[in-house]
Amino acid sequence: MHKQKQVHSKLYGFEKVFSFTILQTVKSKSFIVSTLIMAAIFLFAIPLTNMMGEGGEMEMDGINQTKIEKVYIATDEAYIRDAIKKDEAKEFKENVEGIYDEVEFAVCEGNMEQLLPFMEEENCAYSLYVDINLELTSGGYVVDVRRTEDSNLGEVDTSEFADRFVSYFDELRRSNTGLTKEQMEFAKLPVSVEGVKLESIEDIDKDEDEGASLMEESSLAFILFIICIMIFTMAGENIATSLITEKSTRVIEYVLVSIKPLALVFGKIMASVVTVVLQVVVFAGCGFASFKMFGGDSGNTGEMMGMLSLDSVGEGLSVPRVILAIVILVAGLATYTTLASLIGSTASKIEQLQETIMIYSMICVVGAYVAMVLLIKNFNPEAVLDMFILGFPLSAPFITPFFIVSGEVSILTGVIILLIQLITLALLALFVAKVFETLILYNGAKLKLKDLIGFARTGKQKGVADEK
Amino acid sequence: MALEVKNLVKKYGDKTVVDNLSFTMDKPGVFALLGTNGAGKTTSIRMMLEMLVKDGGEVLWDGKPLETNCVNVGYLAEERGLYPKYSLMDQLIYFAKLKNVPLHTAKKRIKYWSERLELDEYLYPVVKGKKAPSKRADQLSKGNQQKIQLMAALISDPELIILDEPLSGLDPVNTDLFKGIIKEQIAAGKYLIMSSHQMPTIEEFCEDIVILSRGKSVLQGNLNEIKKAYGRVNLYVKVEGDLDALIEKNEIQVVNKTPNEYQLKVTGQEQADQFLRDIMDSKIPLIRFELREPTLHEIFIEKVGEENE
Repeated sequence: MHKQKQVHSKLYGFEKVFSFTILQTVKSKSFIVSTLIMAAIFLFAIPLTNMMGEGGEMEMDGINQTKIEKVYIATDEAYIRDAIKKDEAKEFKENVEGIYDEVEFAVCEGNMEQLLPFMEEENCAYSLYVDINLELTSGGYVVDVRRTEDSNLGEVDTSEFADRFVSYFDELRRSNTGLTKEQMEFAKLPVSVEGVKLESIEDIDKDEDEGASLMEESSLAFILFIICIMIFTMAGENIATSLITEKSTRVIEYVLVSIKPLALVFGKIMASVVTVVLQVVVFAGCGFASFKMFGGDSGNTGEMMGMLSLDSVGEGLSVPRVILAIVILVAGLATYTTLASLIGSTASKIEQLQETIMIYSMICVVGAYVAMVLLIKNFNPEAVLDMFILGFPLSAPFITPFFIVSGEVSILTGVIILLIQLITLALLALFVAKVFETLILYNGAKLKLKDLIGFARTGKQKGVADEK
Repeated sequence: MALEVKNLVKKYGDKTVVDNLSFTMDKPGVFALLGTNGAGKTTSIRMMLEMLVKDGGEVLWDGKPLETNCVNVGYLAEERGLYPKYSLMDQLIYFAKLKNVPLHTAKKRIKYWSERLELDEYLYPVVKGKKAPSKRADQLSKGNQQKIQLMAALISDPELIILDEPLSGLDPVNTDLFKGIIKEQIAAGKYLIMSSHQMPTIEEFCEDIVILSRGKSVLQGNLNEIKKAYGRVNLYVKVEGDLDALIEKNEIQVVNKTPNEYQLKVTGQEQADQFLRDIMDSKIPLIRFELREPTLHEIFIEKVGEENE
């Protein structure tokens, strides 16, 4: 007869649940298929982006000749008329990659009204009419580009030409003034007067520091934010689904003969966290491999990396910050998965799965929305709201790690936030430990929060149960 | 080694579903938990296995509180449960691991029970002459799933085995197979607790019983002694004729009557003897005359009926 080892810990056996859950998850078709698809996306993201970029250029080649045949320009500005007449708008044509090579330009003095006779006399189906005049009321030049009612030219032809002509016109004005591009930009800056009371020099520094939001500074923050939402949702849903399935199929009774409910849920939480982390590592590895293999000297990749604005991250990057950020992320993930296990255990039938997962997803969304405030607004370390969002256990895991890595938050603040996260996790785990033994075999109507609090207070089940 | 259940209490709100249940198993054998649906049998088992929090009482194994992660317990639940999409082999090895059974021992035992329960085609399938992975639980019939669960309960070679309705839903062939295994476990000196509605099965295996009604124990003790205490008062008579006049004359209680067959309750041996003499004197052809102890079924109906009145 086999004698059982003498053990008393409530967590005894969690590693067996952990290894079994991990193994079964990794072996499941849904996990293999979803991981392979995502890994393929990460692996081929760069070459696909490059191909799409090249495709875009080919498309440009395909439309390298415009349908516009003639452009009539009317203006009172002599220098514009002279410049265009001088080289037949050669400079304009060169700047737009030969699209308008065949276009004939006709320039006259005056405005659109003076062009009307031309419009009536000539075949205007492929012609545009440009009126450039100074509007004193608006205080600037107005470039008015039009086509006739029976024109064969479309809106795209007209607006594309208008955009390019305005750039050309701007350049023409600049060269006429003899200013450099920077000087021109400076000259164009508006001047306004505000009644400002300067209290101290620090105010000036503060104003200078108030820059763009995190999302504007770095697209990477936004991408990581989205990845966090995916991870937290996936991990939580895995646990809730697993618990409800075990309860509804009654397998849980066989498992609980050998281990305590707390060991069961702890093993599942660990397995879920590790599975998701494993997936993220695979995706990151594929992304890195893709960058190494295909991203070397590609222009598109360079643009992509520029969009991510990794420089803003690099400024504050250090090993302790990275470690702290990862620990906060993992603690947050553990908090969310513990919450998911609690929510999952309140249901006992597979029909309640959707409803249960929706509750968890709602909590995730609330956390993510709160975190998103910091993503889109300018961060102010002295603002109570900003610090609340950074420290609030539901929003912190989504956003705080990036603020720590980017150096926007000090390490001390990061440690305090981590402590808040760990305390929340510990309190939640204690609560779960109190109610889980009751909940795990509960087989009645879906429980509400007040029922859970009641269980935690009394340590036993008060409500109706599946009685035999 | 002894199992002692002392004053077990479970309440849901104001309702007491198990009310001071106590019994002792001081030697190996089978103890039966009987009761109607909702009498508290499964709740009692779950409390014994620490799945439900007790509102009172204690369960002792060898004088110490029974902790399922310290005592090797095998459990076959009333509601069968397997992971539907996982392979059977993985599940059995998992259940064995949870009971600290080394992997090589677990594999040997799985092979043994697979042959014993005729499950080789599901656990060790061969496709086109090659070994294939074991089947998933959802590919098995209910009866075969029940066999797998019996394997899961016995894979750790447990000291204490709890079987909740072990034979429900089984065909006669598999019922005999299960009965054979239960007999083997009894012969191996295991402690078995069995809950069942099938009274003949209980009578076949169990020495001690407790009958629960609405959470309360209404009768408990050694089955033979209980039957002896009732005495031989059940009389079965089959004749070719009408016995109504003789029954009335002897003031015998009729329990049930079908054409030519009577199920009667007498006060004792003397009344039965007198009734037999009267039948012989009346020259009514007698086919069967049997005076015996009540069956467990009859005791159960009587006791639970009394409690519900």
